[in-house]
Amino acid sequence: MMAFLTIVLAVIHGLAGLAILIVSSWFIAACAIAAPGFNYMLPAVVIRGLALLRIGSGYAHMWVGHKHLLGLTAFLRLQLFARLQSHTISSHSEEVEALASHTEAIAAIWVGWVSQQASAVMMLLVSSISLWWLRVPLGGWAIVLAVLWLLVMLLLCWLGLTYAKNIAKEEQVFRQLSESQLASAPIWHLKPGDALTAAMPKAMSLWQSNLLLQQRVMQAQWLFQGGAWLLLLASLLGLVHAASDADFAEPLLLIVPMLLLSAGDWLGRSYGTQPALNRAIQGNKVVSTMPAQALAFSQKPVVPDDIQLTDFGSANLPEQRVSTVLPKQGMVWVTGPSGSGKSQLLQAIAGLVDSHGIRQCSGHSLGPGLINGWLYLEQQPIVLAATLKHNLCMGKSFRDVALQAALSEVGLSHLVELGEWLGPGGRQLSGGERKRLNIARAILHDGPVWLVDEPFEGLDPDAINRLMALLTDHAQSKLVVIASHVVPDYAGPSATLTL
Amino acid sequence: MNGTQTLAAWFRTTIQTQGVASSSTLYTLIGLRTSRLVVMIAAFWLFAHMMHALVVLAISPTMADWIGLSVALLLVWLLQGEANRRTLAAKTQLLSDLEGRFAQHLAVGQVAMVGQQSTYYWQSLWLHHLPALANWRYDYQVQQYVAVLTPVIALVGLFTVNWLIALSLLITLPIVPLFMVIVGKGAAAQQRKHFIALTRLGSLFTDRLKALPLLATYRAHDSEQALLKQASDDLNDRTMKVVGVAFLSNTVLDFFSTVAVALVAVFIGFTLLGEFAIGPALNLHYGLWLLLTAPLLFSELKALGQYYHQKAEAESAQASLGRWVSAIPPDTFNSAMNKSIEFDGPAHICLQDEQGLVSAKELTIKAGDKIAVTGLSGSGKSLLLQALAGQYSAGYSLPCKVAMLTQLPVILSMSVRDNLDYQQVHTTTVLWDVLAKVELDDWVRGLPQQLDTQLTETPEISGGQAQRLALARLLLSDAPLWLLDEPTAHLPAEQHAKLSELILQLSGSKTLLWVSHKPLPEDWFSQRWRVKNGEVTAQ
Repeated sequence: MMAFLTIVLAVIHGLAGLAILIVSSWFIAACAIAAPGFNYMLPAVVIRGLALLRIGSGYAHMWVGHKHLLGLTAFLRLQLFARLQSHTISSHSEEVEALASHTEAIAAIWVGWVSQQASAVMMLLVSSISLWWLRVPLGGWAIVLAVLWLLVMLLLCWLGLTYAKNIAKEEQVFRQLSESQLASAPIWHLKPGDALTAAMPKAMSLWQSNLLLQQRVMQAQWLFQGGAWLLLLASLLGLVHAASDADFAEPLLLIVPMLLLSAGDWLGRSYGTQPALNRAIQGNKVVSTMPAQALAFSQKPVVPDDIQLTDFGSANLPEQRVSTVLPKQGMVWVTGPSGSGKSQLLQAIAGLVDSHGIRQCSGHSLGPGLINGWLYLEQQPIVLAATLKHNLCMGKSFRDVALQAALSEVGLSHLVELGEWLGPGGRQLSGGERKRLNIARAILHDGPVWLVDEPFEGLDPDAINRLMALLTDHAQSKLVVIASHVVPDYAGPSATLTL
Repeated sequence: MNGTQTLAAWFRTTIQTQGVASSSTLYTLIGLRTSRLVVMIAAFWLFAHMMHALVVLAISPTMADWIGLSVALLLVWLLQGEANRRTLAAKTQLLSDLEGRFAQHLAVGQVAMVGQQSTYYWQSLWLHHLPALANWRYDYQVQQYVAVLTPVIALVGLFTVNWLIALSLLITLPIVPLFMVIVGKGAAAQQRKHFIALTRLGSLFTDRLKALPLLATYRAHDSEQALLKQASDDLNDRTMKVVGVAFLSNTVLDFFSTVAVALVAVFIGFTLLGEFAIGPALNLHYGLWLLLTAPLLFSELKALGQYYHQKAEAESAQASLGRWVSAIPPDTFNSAMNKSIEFDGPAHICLQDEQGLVSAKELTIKAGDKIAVTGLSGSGKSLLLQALAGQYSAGYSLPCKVAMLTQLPVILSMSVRDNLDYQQVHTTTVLWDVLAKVELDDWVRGLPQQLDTQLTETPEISGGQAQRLALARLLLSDAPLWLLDEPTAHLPAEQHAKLSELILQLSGSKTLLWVSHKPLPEDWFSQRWRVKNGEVTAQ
């Protein structure tokens, strides 16, 4: 409905502008040769009315169009988010960022492309039909103009879509290449000078394919402009060599030459919107083919007990085969050099990534999926852009006293304002604070199993000691599995699993 | 760089040096676009004359007029084509110059520069910020001049034909920018009022997408879905309040241009009818020409509005690019790129960076020295090494080429051979020899294609093996001085000891600076440096 209104307003805006041009040029021609009794008041009023209509519809089009754009973007995003329930996406964070602009590009097709095209088509249709209907001299040329517009438009769309594919491909190549080139920055110094500058990432071919599209859009406008003027000159040439002057002295004669002279202005804009179409199509493709892995939720209630793993491992690491028993309570260390799959193992135990082998609890096989209350605490904890309270509650409700108690237990009692916003536009937490907040979250939700990934990396010795004491304390009542590439000396007696 | 410098001033001082983005290119484009408009005004004149003949005099227009109009329109068309062509050529040239400059900064700053930001950040520079500058320079800036010049030219023309219409348009003209400024201020005030909410809510969608595993762990997807719905409604309401005002600025321009044309048309019509007797006499020729020319006062300003987003994009490019597109003097660049492969020592070190993160005085490195560097994490040890290598600017860099070994070795997704031949191509015998020295020869022999095995996901390479491969690369380098930045940090204790011993043995007579957290024997070293709060002292 809003989309329709957007288009209608765009069409009114375009038509009113064109009508002002036509009516005012006809009006002054009519005035110049005014016959007695010429009613000049009516056209003068019409012109002013059209001006107001154009201004009003222009503003309304922008307003409604934008409202529709925002609404549709929000709708598409929510739909996408709903689709991703109990899924994970394995894309890079920049691809996730890009989803925001892709959904917007899809929504923008109405205000950015469709309404411009609709307005161009309607202007051509209305002028062709009314010229023919009113038997305006030279009216046939308007139909030729419409055909010309359509041909150039089809050509541009066809070329544009081909280029868009090319641009997307070039961009992907650039991203991959530059990523590996930038990742090798620590060894750039080994390269001799000239070889090094040559080995820097280059985006020129990507830019050139973008500029090529820009060039084609400009050329389409230019071509159409030239064609329209050619039609103008041809129609005028006919008049120069006209055999009789019978049809002259007719104000209507002015209309078609005026249309042709200014065709580039009122129709040329429609070609400039080609990139919006490309972006929408590209966005649609990305959003609909986005790789997402389904996550299963294990619905069975699991009684806290010993956990037996047999030939168990992450599905991403086929060689990982761990057989061990994790006690109901206590602390277990998972160690091994970086890259040995500690993090993967923890996520597999939690059910966040697919696994192979057997995972049992008190003798019952658990099957695949996330177990309620088995909490995987990431190495770099995610803090939601939300209030502190929201971050702690995670959709459940707790009393403020409980929240404050959890915060002070992890040493975050300096965060007194539970309604404080965290993230962009609010308070930025340090790496250590994020880790502690993550643990406060786990304390509140009181899961029987904590799988803690590299909790000590980047913390100073004091912070490590405090955190260690906290984890030891909680290991009294639950299973705490810690993955760390080094076991601190102060770890005390506990089981160690080396990968 | 001055933070408050305007975009144009920044562009002039930072980029417009050494012949990059020369003003003549800009002025040529402005000249082309402006002369196109002048010829267009002439074409309007001929067109109006032909219409006058047809409608008022009821005679066929003359062939001379037709030829004149054809020539004028052809000229306009060609000027437009040339302006298009040159705009694209200028953009391509500017992009290539900017890319060259940026590559030079990367080549000098290396990991000290790259490590400051994420890959995503750097890629955005290429993908968005550099093109944004080129677009701003050759679309927006050109249009800015044209939007000022066109009304002046059009007014001069209008004055010669009808001073009354010209005068009344001249009076309205300053009102347009005035209103636009007022509305712009209103929009900015709205933006400020909602700023915090807009920043907070604007990124919620991607924020929650990145948190999907967390939401699954806590089974909070549904509650977040409801929150997102509510947040986006709120965000949209607030955004509409801001843009509702911002659009008014566009509408003001639309209002003046449309009303001006409508009123000019009505005025001309009534004058032709004889209803008005103010101002010079008119006929259809003059009247139609005035009607066609008057919109030019506003049309280029409107076109500027369409490029307006380019200004905001270029401003964010300015913020991200900063000095990374400034020119590096050729001498500085060449000496940074071609360092000596001899180190005769002694080098007297005295360095101090601008931010005060690292400083050193009265330190000396003699040829063949083995120096241990210790200090807490974050005290500036890595910066010291980067400064000595000349990557981090601190007023001093070692006079010779260096080879560095980092905590996490870089393994390229290429064959073993290509990984070793990173600096230059070596013979197979040399490669095997080096692999034997770092005790990797047995492992490589076991690989499916030996030296030509691709090191992608499989075969998996352990941390220790990877560091040995990186060490082999160091052995193949001709650098006389090694800088080691905790090469064993990620290895278990036993591997740490073995690899450290190997590194010392293979370093031979080379000069060595060794940063380590982990204990190393005292008697390996000829000097010990300590880094505390960025200050490096000898012990």
